[in-house]
Amino acid sequence: MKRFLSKYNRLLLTLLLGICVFLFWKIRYPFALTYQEQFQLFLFDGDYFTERIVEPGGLARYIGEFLTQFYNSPTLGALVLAGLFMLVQHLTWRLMRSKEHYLLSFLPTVFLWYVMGDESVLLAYVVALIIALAVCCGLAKLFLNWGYEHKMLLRRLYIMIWLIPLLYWAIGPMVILAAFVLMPVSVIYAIVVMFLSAHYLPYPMTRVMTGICYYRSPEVLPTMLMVIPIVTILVGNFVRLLPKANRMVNIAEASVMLVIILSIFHGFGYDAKKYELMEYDQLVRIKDWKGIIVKAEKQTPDLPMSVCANNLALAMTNQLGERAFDFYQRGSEGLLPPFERNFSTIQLTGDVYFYLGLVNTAQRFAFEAMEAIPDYSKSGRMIKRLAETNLINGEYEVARKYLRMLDKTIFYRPWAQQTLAMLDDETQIDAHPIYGTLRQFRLEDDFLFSEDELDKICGQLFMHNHHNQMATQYLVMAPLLDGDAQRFINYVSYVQSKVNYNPRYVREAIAKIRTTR
Amino acid sequence: MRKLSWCLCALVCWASCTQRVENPIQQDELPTIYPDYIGVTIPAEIAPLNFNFIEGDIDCMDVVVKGSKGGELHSQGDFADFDMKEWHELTVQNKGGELIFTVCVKQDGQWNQYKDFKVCVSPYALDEWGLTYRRIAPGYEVYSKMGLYQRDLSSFEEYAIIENTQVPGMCVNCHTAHQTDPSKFVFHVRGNHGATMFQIDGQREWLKAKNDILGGSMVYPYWHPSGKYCAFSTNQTRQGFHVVKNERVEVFDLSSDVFVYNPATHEILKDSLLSTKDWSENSPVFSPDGRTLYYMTSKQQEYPEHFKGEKYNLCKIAFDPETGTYGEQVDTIFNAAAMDKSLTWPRPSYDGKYILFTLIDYGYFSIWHDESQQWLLDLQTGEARELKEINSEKADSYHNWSLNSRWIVFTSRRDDGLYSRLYLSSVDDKGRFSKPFMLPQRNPKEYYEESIYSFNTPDFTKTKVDFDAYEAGIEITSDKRIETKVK
Repeated sequence: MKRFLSKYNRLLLTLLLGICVFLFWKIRYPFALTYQEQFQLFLFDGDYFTERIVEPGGLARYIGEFLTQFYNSPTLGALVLAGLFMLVQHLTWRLMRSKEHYLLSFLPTVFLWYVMGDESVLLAYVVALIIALAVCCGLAKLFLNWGYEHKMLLRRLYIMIWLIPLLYWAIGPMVILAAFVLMPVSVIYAIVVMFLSAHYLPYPMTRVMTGICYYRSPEVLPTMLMVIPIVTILVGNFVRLLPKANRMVNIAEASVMLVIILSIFHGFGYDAKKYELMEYDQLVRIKDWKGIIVKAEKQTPDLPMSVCANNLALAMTNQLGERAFDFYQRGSEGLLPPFERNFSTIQLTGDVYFYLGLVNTAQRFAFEAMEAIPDYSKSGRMIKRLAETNLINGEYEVARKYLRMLDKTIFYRPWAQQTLAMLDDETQIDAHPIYGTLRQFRLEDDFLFSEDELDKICGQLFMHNHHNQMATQYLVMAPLLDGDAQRFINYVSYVQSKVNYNPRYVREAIAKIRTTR
Repeated sequence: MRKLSWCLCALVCWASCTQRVENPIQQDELPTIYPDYIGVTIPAEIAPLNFNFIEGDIDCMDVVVKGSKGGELHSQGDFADFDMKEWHELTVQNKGGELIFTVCVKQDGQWNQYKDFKVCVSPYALDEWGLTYRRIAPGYEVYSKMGLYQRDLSSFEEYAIIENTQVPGMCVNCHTAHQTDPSKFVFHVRGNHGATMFQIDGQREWLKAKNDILGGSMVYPYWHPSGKYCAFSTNQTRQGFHVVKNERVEVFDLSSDVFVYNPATHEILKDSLLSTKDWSENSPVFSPDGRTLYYMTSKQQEYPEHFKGEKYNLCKIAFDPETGTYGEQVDTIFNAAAMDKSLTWPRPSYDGKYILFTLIDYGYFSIWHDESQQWLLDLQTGEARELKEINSEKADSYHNWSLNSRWIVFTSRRDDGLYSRLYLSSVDDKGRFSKPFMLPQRNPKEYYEESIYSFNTPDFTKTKVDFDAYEAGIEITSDKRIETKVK
């Protein structure tokens, strides 16, 4: 056993890294993977490939998006990430000129792990890093075979001339990593190529120089992303300068690495509030209303969107009037938050409108959410919602267009095919538990939507269909959450004259108002 | 040996794609093709009218095109994909004549031959290089990738003029050239780096997006025939969103005025008749002689409650290009409100005969109105008629004329009800329009089905637009702007 461990200790350490990464995403942050996935829609389609490959970094982006689609299943997504992290570590090790400090080969991976706490870092960045490292390893091996004779310089120059532009187009500015290994002058050449390309690309210079597809938001300069290649170069080239590995050095390196990994495992670099919202978002997406309430019971939600998600879950389980004040509230904005130009908030609010029966508003929010994705990608989740709203509204040609897009994916395909078969079939749609019900909830008298009159809109929904339980609850609870007694009494009187609705907090509020008067 | 293998492979591939149409069953119906090019009239310069068969899956399609004045063309494959050079030779040879299309489709191993259909090749030239337009998702307030583009009408090539990726957060709109000549053109930039851009003979100028005296941005430009002026409106625009099905967006103006801008002096020429308090003046256009300014006007309503009461009429006022002054009288030349309708997007033909406009139930933002229809006002007789020959049940909207006034381009949502496509139609001597045809694409079904963009504000362009998007991007972010002044 000891012999086995001694022989395969490096391999086992790499494997351990993979297991840690897998468990981290699979157990601690599975919702972060599904959250990421909804920012893209990978299509098995020639045009989709062409659109990406015409830009620098296009190949890395294509592969990155191909892999990101597997985030739909947290297990597969975690496996993908584990594989990529292991590759980064292994290639860094292969690149290291001294083979004594194996643990240092984990350093870029650990940085990467930390950096990926930023949800805007795209997988294309990791893919570009891996391709660059692989090319570096290939070049290092080639140069080793060639030796260091003077005439080899010409060969290197020849390789530089064609490899740098080609690699730049495939992986973007990460080419600089490979350029450094090739020969120092090629770094200048790579920068010149990037600089020139910017004049012919529809992007500003800073975006071209920092990577079009590495980071989701074009308005942010992702400085941490530049650190990893530098760390990789330092580890690869200057490890020779470190003291020779002995037991003490190994223990020190292992301790440092362990502390860093444990810190990350405890969420260092991973914004707790942001990730809490991601979890709520995922629970809403899969309609796990019970899961939302259980989560809220453990730690009461206090952010606008988490409060909104919890209220939605309470309403969907017909408990809003019974339990709303068991949790922290934010007024009626906690029921229907105001519109913000931000993907996460728009799509969650859109879900509330969808279940309320305001199908047009849900459609608008789905469209806006998708348009708000900073890197101009489309969203599988939102395209699905748009297909649904158009289907409910009887816009079958538009629904068909979206469903055909989803038909070109792996994970949305079964649903798309099932729904395509439903198109044009009014009877089947009317009988559908969600679509049919929402058709009945839809308003028939036209007016323009106003965020300032949401309670009135809920009132319209209730008057149109008394079976709309969510509208009933939102109508009654909105003035109560705002502390507007008069409005509450007006609404509750009307509601109670039509349906039997008298939950705990409504009873208590009525009693208190009567006592006060 | 290796070469021989390659030759054999190539031969097998060719053979599998080239089949003889044997024993076809004659079908007593026209083929169901996409786009519907049956009976359309095209200019000889247009790109090949490639099309797809859309009634079920097919094994193969065979199309033979014969010209009434001679010439023949053949295509076989998954869709009708004509050779560019041969197509142009055939259309030029048959200018003023007809092309007869024979379509045979192989389904489940059996060939079917459909009834022949014809396409007319207009005797009138297009005399334009192509089109300019904006491509944007048909959204609401937030916009993703979009831009201004140009398309060579004799091929399938599209080129970006500028895309909003050049400056994050930017939106570009209302690209307008001087009578289809891109040596003078203007467009607007919206967002944090807002501006109105003028490019005249290669020189760019960026005007401050908002002038405090105007109280708003410069919107909906239209060049004076002399190129010395450009008319604009300035609008306090708001959007509303419908709650019922089949209705989406409503655009209305809290107020709007019309004015003329002089690019040489950066002066704005206002007039009290075009900036009234209770009326919204909008969308100004010059007559081809440059001596009349047409615009639309509506009594202001209380918004958003009474948005359906907003009804625009078409008016005109004299304009003296020598002095840059307006006449003293406004005349209503089309009273849409009297029909309980609203008029929008007036566009005079460059030959001075007509004004093409859109009629909707209320408001002016016709792309969101399914009921919007194209109308033509004959300026000689003063009579207007609905252009039933080009209208559809879905929104038919924004249009422009070719410089020779023989062709129009307009947007329509007839394809799927949401995504606007471009259609072209020819006009004969009597003001009759031919059946419109959708802008050709190499593989139309694939292209339009996969496209997530609407085409809007199309116009013809005499030559390719020369614009340095990279430098423009730097200039936009620099925020160096020229101040306009009111004369």
